[in-house]
Amino acid sequence: MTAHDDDWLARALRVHEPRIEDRGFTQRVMAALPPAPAPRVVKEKDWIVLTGAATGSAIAASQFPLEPFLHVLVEAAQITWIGAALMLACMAGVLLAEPVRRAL
Amino acid sequence: MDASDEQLVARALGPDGRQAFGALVERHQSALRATLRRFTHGNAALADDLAQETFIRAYRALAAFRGDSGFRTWLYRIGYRCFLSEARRHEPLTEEVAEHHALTGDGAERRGFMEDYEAALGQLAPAQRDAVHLALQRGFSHPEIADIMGLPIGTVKTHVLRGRQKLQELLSDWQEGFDHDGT
Repeated sequence: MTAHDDDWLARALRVHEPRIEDRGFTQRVMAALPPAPAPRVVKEKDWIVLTGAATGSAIAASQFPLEPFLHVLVEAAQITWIGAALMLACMAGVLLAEPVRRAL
Repeated sequence: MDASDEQLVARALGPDGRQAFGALVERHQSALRATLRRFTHGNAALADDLAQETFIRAYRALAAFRGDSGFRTWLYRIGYRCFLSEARRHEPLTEEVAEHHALTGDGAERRGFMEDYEAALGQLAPAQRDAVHLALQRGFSHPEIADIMGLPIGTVKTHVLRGRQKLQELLSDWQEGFDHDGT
């Protein structure tokens, strides 16, 4: 079976399918809808809370001395690098131990 | 240019929400009602009730629509669930095949082809029939149909492949005419 065979049926169905006229259907649906999607209110609340939190954080950050924090961060990064280097050295040692033992 | 479904959904969650949602209903009502008529074996009144229920549920859940799938897929998933819960309550749904032709537009050729199509569809298993309809008439992809029907994608592929093969065999007399259309 080829793609061409597949096409003709789908094409024929789309061409031949008639449209169902609305005849007041949309109006009936709209009349039966609840007043408004309630969760929208929650979204607006979330937005207000987020804006408030961001503004508060910005004010607090502007009042805070950043230099000591940066110093701590740099130190922490150095400690992390030393730890990572030690871990890699240990792993390399484990991997090389057996070949070295055989060579000796 | 017409707004996309996703743009209308975004508007429907805003201040002029009802108007935007109305545009979505107008856009999708014909195809959704036709699909539900198919699922309910041509019971137009029941299909319209289910379509109305589908739109109402969609409106209520609109804020939860995240756009992971397209709006149309999401809408049909709601519609299919409405249909399944109705089918469980009133099994089996009555056959009213003639109702399919209470649609606008006619013409001997169109009516003849669609009647043969209805008869051929009637020879498929229900899940196969629904999957084939969603694929061929609504143009949904296999993953979208799996999402709508809540089936594994492999099952959907099998349903569509076998169903389409059977339809092509049964409707092979019509193929030549459509090939000559050159479309």
